[in-house]
Amino acid sequence: MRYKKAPILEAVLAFSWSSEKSLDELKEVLSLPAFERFDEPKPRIQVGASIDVDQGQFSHQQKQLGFEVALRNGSEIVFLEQRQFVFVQRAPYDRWAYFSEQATSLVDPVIKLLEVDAFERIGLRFVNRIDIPSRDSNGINTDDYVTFNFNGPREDRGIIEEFQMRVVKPTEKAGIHYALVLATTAPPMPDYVSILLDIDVFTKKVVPSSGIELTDTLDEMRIQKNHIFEECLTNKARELFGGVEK
Amino acid sequence: MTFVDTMNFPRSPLMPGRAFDRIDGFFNRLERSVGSQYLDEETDPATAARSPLEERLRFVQDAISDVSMHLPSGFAHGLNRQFANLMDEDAWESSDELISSNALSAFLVALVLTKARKRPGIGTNGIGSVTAAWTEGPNRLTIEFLPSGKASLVLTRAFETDEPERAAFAPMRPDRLCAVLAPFEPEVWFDG
Repeated sequence: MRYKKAPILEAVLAFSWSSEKSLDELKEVLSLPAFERFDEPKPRIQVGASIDVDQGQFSHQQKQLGFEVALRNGSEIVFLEQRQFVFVQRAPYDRWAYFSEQATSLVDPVIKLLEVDAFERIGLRFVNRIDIPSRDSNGINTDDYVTFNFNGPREDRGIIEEFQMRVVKPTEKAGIHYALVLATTAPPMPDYVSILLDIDVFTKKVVPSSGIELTDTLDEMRIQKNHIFEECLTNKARELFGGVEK
Repeated sequence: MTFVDTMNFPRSPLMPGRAFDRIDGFFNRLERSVGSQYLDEETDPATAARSPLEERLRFVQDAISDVSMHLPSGFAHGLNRQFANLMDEDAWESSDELISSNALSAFLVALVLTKARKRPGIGTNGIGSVTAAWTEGPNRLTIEFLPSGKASLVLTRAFETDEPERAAFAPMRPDRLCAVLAPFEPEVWFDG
């Protein structure tokens, strides 16, 4: 089952390993045929800054973590860093089969060339944004759309003006955990309000980089992700997604 | 629980292409010790080194991606290709202003509100605007989305019995377009 207008803003599959790879090795990976359809790699830079208040000194550092490649139409992005491979599918999201095939077809040659035997962490993350039409300046009742809410200590006056929540906890499956973010966010259009629903399912166990255990783990993570998503929604929210395709 | 969206979180619309980085950054900052003498490891999410034109193209494509669920199937991919061609390093005039975020936003609002099922031809006039054009035989509609966030338009509409009508409208809010175009039966352009 999939929604015709799935609220998925971004789908991400990330694989991390323990041993740091060199930038030269990463560059060699990106010259493989699997990456031919992507534009030229761009260095992926992280800038850090620190302030010593006593000395009144400020310093900053710049470090190249790896590379970024993207399709010309911007729909798929890969971050290849010294300890991780990240595949990002931007909206519009098509379906799981396409998404997972794209990710695995890219990560397979990566782990072969970099000789990665196991993943320290696998992350499957779907950032959803539920856009709710609202011409009413009094806001919306989030209980109509999502199933968890804020139970504060008092009633107070007026309404909640801003809301962010992040919860991290294990699933029922050993070694699989999740982080769930619910927050208000900027709507993409006038006369809408938007709710961010970010579901990040990840492993806390070492998983071989190929074979049935990897496949089973990914399948289980997907099941967990879908279950969490559905459990967060009301039918009124589902009505916003244009119905389902079997 | 009821809330009004005050656009406070994330502090700006999700940064295109790395929404998850943005969300992580927000919560990481919340976890930092405010009273500490040293603000250690104040690191930003990693970013790719791109030229200003490439950076703006990514911005444009991500803005289109952000509303893709409100557009017809295949529409966003097509638009993203069109902008990639328009903003190609070899084709872009270096003296031209980059496409304005206000103009782009107005363009996307108009696409969603008009429920256009046919993609327009797109262009820019060098001052940061987005020009969208629909042509169906003698019926022509050109809308210019300006850096001010407003839209001006010119059109030619041929009805069966009369001479083609020509009209031009001064800049208006993009959410006014549907009402202004209604007498001209805009389905001829938008339904394709």
